[in-house]
Amino acid sequence: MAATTEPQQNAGRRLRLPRLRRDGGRASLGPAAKKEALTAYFFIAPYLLITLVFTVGVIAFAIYVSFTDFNLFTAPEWTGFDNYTKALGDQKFIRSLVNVFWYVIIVVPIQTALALLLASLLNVKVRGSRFFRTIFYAPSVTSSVVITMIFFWLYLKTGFINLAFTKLWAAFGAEWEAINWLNNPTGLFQGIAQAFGGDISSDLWYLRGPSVTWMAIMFQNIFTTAPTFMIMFLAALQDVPPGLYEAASIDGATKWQQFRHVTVPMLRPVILLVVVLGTIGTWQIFDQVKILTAGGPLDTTLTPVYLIFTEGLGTLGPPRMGFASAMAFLLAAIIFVFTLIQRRYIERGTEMY
Amino acid sequence: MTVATANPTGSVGTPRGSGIRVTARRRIGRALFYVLLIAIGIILFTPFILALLGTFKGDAEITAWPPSLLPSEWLFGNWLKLFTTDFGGLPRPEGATSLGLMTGMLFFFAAFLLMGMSSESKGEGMSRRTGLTLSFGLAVLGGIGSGLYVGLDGGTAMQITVGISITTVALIGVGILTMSEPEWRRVVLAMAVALLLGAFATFLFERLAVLAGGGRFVRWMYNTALLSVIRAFIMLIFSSMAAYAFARLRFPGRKFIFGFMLASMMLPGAVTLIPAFIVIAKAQWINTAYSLIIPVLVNAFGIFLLTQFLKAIPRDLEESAFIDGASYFQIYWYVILPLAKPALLTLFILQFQGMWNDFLTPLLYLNTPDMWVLNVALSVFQQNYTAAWNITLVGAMVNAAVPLTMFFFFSKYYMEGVSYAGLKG
Repeated sequence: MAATTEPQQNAGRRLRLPRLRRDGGRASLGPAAKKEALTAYFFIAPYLLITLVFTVGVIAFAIYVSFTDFNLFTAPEWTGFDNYTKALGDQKFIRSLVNVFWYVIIVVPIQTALALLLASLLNVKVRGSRFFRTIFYAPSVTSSVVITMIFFWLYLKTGFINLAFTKLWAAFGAEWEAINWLNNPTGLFQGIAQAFGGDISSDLWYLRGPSVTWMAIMFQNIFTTAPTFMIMFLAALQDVPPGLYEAASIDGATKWQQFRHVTVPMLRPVILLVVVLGTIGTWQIFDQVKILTAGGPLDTTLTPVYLIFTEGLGTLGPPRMGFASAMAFLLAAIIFVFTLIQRRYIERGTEMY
Repeated sequence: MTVATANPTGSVGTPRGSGIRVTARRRIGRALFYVLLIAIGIILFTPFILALLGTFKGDAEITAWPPSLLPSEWLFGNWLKLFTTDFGGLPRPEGATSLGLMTGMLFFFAAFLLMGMSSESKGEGMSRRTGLTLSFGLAVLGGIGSGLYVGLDGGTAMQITVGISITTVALIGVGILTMSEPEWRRVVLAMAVALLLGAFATFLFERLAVLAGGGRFVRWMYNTALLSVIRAFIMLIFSSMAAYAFARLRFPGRKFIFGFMLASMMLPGAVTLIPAFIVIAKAQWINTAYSLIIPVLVNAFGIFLLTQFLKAIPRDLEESAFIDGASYFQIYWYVILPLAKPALLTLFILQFQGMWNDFLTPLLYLNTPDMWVLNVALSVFQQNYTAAWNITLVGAMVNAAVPLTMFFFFSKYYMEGVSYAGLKG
């Protein structure tokens, strides 16, 4: 990646040849530059058109819609900040945000660490590492629907996940009672409390922690996204100058120290990227929820995008486009703040080295 | 980015160990390392292996407790059942028409570009004014024609929007060719042949869609494959055009537009979900191929990737072509595109995979069985036939087979694509 940035900068500065057309020097620089600009506008016209309609236009429209009451069939009715205040006071929306918050803070660190670990393994110079790279990455090219479908089947009460736990528990002489992974609202902290004979009441749902079902979905997601990010780390690892490791080993650094003090600092930009991309992706989780749980059980797997989808399409009543748009903007704001904090935090770390 | 340049960071593979003891230890270490890699590989593939074995199980066995690894009886017929069953739903004409028309558009463009590119030798044939008028007329005619064709089944709003969008895009093509001072006879000829080819492709692919039937697995595969290929190709044409302009041409506003494009890439997709749906609903594009193709005719990520790639290659070839009197369009077509082939292939693969694996957008826009793509069909099928897990898994395996096969053939380009994506930040 570093190799490609240098020529780019030079390319921009490079002197251009004077415009010599085949009809001699008739055309002066003025018309030639004009022609170049006009040609360029024709070349980017499709992009400009599509962006003006489907990005700029659509977002401007979304801002307008978010301040109105709109059900697609009657004219929008101006309601001011009503949708925003309604969204912030909406039990389901708050619930979905809390759910995804758990999701982000559990999934992103684990998948980043796992990806880095896998990449470090594959970066070792042994015969066939290219083959293993292909094999590790292969499951990630299939659609999330396919993987979710397979996991749906594995998570059934009579599925292989319960079988694995049964075998594992039996190895320690205990008995595993098969559970319905995709319909279990017990929260993580609630489960711990129950183990000690207590419970957390449903008024304090936010203290219950992610439900068993939600954690099952997390596991599936980590399983499938770690290899994708692994490839990014691998590409970056191969750009680390080997001299740094030689210098470190001459200074007597152990493998762990080399990893900690050479690899990690060199990879900071990619780590930031992986964390930010992972965060943006996980905040918008939809496919798995739509297929596996539809937000249940007891709203413990409800996510903002799933809510936006159902409210906008009106699967639970009349479509509320304005309300859905307001939620979308609130979600975007949260994602923006989140990535900003990450950028600050990880980039501050870079200055130390 | 090849493995050959990998450097030793892990626990094994310290370069040049000497002495017998060291070699023996290294050999054991290496063997253990391979065992570890194989174990991880197997773990990552376990869901697929279990599912593949599951596709051969019977209706009762697939959800029986305890689940067995191998089927007690290998029912290979399950795979056939998926393709022969009619899951219900008649083909709607406008769905088939939209698929055909989008294919026609692709054929029209490919033919137009292929024929129009060599149209540069001045002073012969038709006069500029006649030629320009004629090719403008043909472009508009093509737009009106496709609008009317759609109108046979669709509503007025759809008719108008389809007509306008196809006219606009055709006019942009004429505009680009005009800039290279063409021989007009060739442009008009290219336009006419491209229109005929486009019309033929529209009709052919529409008939094929009707033939494939409404609620059948074959039709879902047809829909998915066609949408993925058309979308990737059209996106490739327009993105590479824009990338050429951003990387090589100077024009006022270039920095601003490029910066805006970069910023728009950071926008979460959830924000535009609902308003884009409203726009598409108003254009009456719901349940047609237009809803999935037109909003993504060009894509910011594709332009960005190609621009970065083009900026990194030297200009010498182009400059000598320029001195020889080549037009911008000829440089784009004969010099830039061949040079950018690896990046184009990478982008094609990413876009193809993007459409093939997309779920949210098709779910939002396509709602009858004749238009579904595999992902949507699979999820609906699973909900409606909760007992038939074996058939659902066959569907999942067929769905996964296409991207997996592509991946094993072009794995190098996938890796490059993902690491290019790293440039995004």
